[in-house]
Amino acid sequence: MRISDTTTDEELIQKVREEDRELYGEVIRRYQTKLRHYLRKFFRDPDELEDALQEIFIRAYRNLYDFNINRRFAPWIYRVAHNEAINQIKKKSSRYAISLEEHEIDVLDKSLSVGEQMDAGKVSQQLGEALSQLKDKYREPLILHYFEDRSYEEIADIMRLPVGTVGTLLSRGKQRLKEIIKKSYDNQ
Amino acid sequence: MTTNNLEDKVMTEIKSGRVKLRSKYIFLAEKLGLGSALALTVVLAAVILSVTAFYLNASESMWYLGFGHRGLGAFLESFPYQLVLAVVGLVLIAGIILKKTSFAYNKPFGYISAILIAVVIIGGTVLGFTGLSRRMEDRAFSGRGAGQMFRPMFSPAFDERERGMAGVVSSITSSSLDIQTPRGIKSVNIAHLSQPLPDNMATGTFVVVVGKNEDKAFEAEAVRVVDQNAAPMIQRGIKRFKDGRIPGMMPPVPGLPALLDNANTPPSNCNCPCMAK
Repeated sequence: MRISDTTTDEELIQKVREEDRELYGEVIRRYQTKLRHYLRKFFRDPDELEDALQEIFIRAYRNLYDFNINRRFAPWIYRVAHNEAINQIKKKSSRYAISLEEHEIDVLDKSLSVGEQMDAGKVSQQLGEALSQLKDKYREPLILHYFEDRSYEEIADIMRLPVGTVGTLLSRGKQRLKEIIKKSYDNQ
Repeated sequence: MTTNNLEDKVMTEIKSGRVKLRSKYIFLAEKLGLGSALALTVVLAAVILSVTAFYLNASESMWYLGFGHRGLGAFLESFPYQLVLAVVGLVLIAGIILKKTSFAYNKPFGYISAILIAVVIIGGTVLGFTGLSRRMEDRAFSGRGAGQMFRPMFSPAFDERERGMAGVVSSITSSSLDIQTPRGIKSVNIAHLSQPLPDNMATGTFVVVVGKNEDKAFEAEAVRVVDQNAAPMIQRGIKRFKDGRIPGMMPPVPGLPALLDNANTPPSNCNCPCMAK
């Protein structure tokens, strides 16, 4: 069965569940790049990242009936990814290893206006380190909002938080990030 | 692993049947289980809230407050803490269950708590009008049926108190009162009252007393005659436990201190092989 580009994710999931399980390949094609990008904020080792990604798609498939067809699919699969990433990190007791891409640095810098405080050659490393030092509850909304372009509502669905709390965490997270950057700049 | 590799690997697992969709009925059962647990917790909280209101209304607890600061100790002693804690605990559990459901997980906990508290209060109020608590009290102390499980909710009303007492006056002398309580007849010393005895005090009146439970008698600080219909649970307790034996509770031993005082003197009518002979 062919699936057109206009078929929504939710329609696709309905078809996978009720008609043709092989259509799940289309779900993988649609989300693997986005989720790989998201998981890069959790895993530095590419093999670990790919293993986690495979586990996420398998877990999502197993639990497809848990997805409410009347809601949006993207936050649901991001939540599966979020939970799997957190589990893997806890299991291996490893720290977040955040490396930022060029456009992500620009996005964060525009929002925080901290570029002038940092050494131009080390902005990526310093921002990555500062993000790693943030508490999970602040870091994850920042990553989802600034790097994954997720709306407040989607972040609320992914993290299972009230929308108002997401706004508060983003605002406080930015403030804490600024403080960490300023402190590390002062220590130099 | 390349992009296509990932798809191939996952689809191979699915096509081979090693990875299967979990049945929709499992998720349905999970949701039903969660819903049932939520409903049960809310109903239980409403029932216990209704019992708490009934307890405060039907026991002597609130009457102690009429004595001002002197009655505060007795009020605090007779307050049904375990019921209030049970209601609070159940509301918290219901809140946690509700946060796990798909319709409330992204609502603020304060908002969920406010709704839950409102539902429990309304439910408890409605149950209050049905007379459920009264029926539960009757079942708790009648025979051996399943109603016995309600006893822990009501039996604290009949506990021996250190700071207060309520019951029907069975005899009056110039220095003492005998009061029939659910735990039997108690002697109350009224020689050191901080205010005079009420004029309408007579045998058969229902009184509430505050003071201190001493070794041999209750030292009263103040006595108040209250309405015959006051503290109906205590009045029922007096009729129900005529011998002072309350089911499920340690029975009082009338005159035990005196017996202990004379432990070495066997009574003249003793027919058993006493150790003290």
